[in-house]
Amino acid sequence: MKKSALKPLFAALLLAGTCAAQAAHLEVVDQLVFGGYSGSLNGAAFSADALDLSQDGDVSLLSGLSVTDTNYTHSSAADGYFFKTSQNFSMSITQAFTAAAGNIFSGDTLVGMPVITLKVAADGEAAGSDVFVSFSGLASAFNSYASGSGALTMDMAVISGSSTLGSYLWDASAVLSADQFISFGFNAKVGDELLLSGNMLSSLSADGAQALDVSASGQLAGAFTVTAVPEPEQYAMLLAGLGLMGLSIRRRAQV
Amino acid sequence: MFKLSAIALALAFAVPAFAQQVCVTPDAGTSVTFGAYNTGVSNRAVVLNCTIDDQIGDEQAWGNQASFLAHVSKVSFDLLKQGKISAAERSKLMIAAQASGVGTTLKVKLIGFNDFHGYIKSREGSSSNPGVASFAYKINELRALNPLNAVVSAGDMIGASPLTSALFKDEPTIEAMNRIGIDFNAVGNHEFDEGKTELLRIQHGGNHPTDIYSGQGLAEDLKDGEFAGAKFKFLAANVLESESNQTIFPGVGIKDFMGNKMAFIGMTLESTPTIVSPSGVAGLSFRDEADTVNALVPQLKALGIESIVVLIHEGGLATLSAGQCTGVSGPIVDIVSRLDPAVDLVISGHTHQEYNCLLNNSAGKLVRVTSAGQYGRRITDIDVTLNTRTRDVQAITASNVVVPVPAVTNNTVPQVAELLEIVDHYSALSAVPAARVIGKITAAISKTNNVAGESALGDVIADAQRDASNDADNGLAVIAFMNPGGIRADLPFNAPNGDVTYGNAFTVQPFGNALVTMTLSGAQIKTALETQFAGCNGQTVERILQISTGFAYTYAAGNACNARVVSMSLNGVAIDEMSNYRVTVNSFLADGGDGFVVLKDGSSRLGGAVDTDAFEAYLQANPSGVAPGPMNRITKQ
Repeated sequence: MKKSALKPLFAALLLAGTCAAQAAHLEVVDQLVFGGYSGSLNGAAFSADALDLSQDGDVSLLSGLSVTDTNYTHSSAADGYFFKTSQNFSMSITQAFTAAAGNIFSGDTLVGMPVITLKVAADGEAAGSDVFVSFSGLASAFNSYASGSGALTMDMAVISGSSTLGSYLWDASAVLSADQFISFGFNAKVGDELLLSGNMLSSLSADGAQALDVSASGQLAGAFTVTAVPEPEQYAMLLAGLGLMGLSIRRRAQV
Repeated sequence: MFKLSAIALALAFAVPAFAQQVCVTPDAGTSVTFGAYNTGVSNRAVVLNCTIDDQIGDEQAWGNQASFLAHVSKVSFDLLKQGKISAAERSKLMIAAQASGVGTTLKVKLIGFNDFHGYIKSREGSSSNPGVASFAYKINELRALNPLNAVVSAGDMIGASPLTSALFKDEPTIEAMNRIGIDFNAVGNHEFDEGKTELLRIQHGGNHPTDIYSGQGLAEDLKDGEFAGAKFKFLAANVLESESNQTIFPGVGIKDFMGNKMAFIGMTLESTPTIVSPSGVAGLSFRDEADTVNALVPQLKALGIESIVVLIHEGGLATLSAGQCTGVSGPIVDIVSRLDPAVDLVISGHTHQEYNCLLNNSAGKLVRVTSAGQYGRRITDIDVTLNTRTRDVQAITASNVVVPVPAVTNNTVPQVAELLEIVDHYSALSAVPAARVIGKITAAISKTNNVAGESALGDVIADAQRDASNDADNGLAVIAFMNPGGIRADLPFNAPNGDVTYGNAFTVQPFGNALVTMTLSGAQIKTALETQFAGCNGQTVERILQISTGFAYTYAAGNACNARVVSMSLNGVAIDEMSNYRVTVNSFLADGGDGFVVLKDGSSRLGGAVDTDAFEAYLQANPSGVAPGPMNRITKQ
């Protein structure tokens, strides 16, 4: 075999070792989701429960309420999703309160997705095959508590049995505007069941002492990928390829 | 910042990226609207000259509501972060996104046709035939209106086709349909004209084992130098191999529209074996249409499929008033009346009729039933609204649209060049075989009728058909009837010796109808003859059947309906109304075509040769030349 023919072979071996394609995917087996917007304004309670729009392996949760009065406006929208085709997981909240002085207010918005049961489903691999599951995404917070008080927290975790495989938690209550990258990964096997949880909570309150224009907004969004873990023989091939490559370079250097 | 951009890409979801570019026509609305729903948020430029409304893809198709909500969530959060909208406005947009209902329904376009019969070449067989290049242009026009579409056929796409397709085993039609990119074709009776084995070859590819005209397609249409087969699926839910009890093709084709699956159940008429050659369907059993559909419904529902379309090669005759369906008769009425109410739409065929009707299903609810006529002259344009929550059909509208026929000179009808390429290729290839001499005639034979309605060519064709079916093994026919409309041209005398070419014969009888021999009583023969006259037994215009030698009758045109035929005889013996006679007609008449409904009642049916083959055999049996018919069999008083 000529050297010129070996080069692409090495390249192919290297690629085979380094590029792990999407090997499997996560499927929703079951979910428990809830949330909404509730609180009180000048002694009167209000609430808007979240609609669970989940269907056919997609998880979807949405709540919203917008109230306008001559003296005040308050509004909230919150949503959360897991989409099977894109493997995207996201949630967001936006809550706002604008009022003249004298309005006493407290409102909480919750995206509660404490249990989304996911299964590592095969795209052709045998059950029990090793895979690597990763999540990468971005969390954003955008708050304005010029006065009054507010809070914003968000978290997500992937759990198997009693082990936490990956998690993220951000108390963004003191944040005006910031982003954080989220990235975690763990080993799993095709056929495993995993528990995904995601929660986001915002609160705004006002004691009526002064006019207010406050808001809390957060978003957490990203995507899961499931890649094959190379078998030992693939590693062996990669090493052999590297060895041959080294040999070829050494021989060329001697010429 | 590679990582940032990669994450941004990952976050882009499955929605189009609204890149920062100038909007050509920014949305000019004062409020942001989702569909027709006013969000209450004032619309204004937020990215260059593009408005908030421009950033939201509420006009595009969403496979479910959650996808649209996630899209609005992302876009509105980005606008909030950029300080373009307030938190209260984002809440309003989110609330409106849900309330607008965008994403709760999905529009899908179905493009239906039937009985195409290989009419790929414009004006071949009839000046009313548009040809596949104009047909494809119209399909593309409809597809352009909605990228979520399916193009489906309700059978008889091939078989009984004209020379340009038939000579090449109908491979030209399959290659043309491959280029158009149709989704499914339910088998019709004519798909079985050349038998099961040949039909399987048409689906799966490979050249015909003996026919030298097979595999002659353009290089890009072939596979490994041979006929590539159909790239779309034939469906045959009610055609089973008797031995294995398995259908010869899948019964159901499924198309996924953004996660909303639609099932197409395809089938032919149960009585297919009575109108095709028995050898072609040996070993196959054809099941009841409605029972077959109803048995499949629970299986589809178990797969989560609620939207169900039946493609059936069986139909009816509709009466129209100002283009609107006012009534339907025929086998489709009974079939639909027994269908499970889960069936949302029936695209039918076989009768070559054009209709768009509502018929009662088994629950007494109306279901839409369409048919697009024949030969690619019409296409049924069907808009289906799917409920993305239930996955079921919420509404259907349909109309039959005309496919224009290109002009011979100075044509302005648009055609698809890639399809014309196939037609031109096969037209050129068929020029030589069209010139093949198949026999002789002694003089030009005209299709012009005498005063009684009989023509010299009609006599000859009826004689040829009787001759092809009067032996013990092919029907023992004593009479043949030929419909005058099936004789498309005179048979010219080619000087000097009267050679008849295959092309000449094909031009006269381009339909490629197979012969059917059946038993009729003398009374039924009389009813058939009475049905020739306009206004009698549902006949619309006078259609005098051409009859074979030995049979003769006299009619009094002035008499009342069903009293015009005053005498009938066979070989000089009066026809006995109580006796049975073996009668040959073509498959078109056998199906009750041209209003001859009584012929559908003929019993002990036996399929026979294709009409042109019968004609060729007749010429060859008379090597000194066939003379024009005597025109003395029908007498008008």
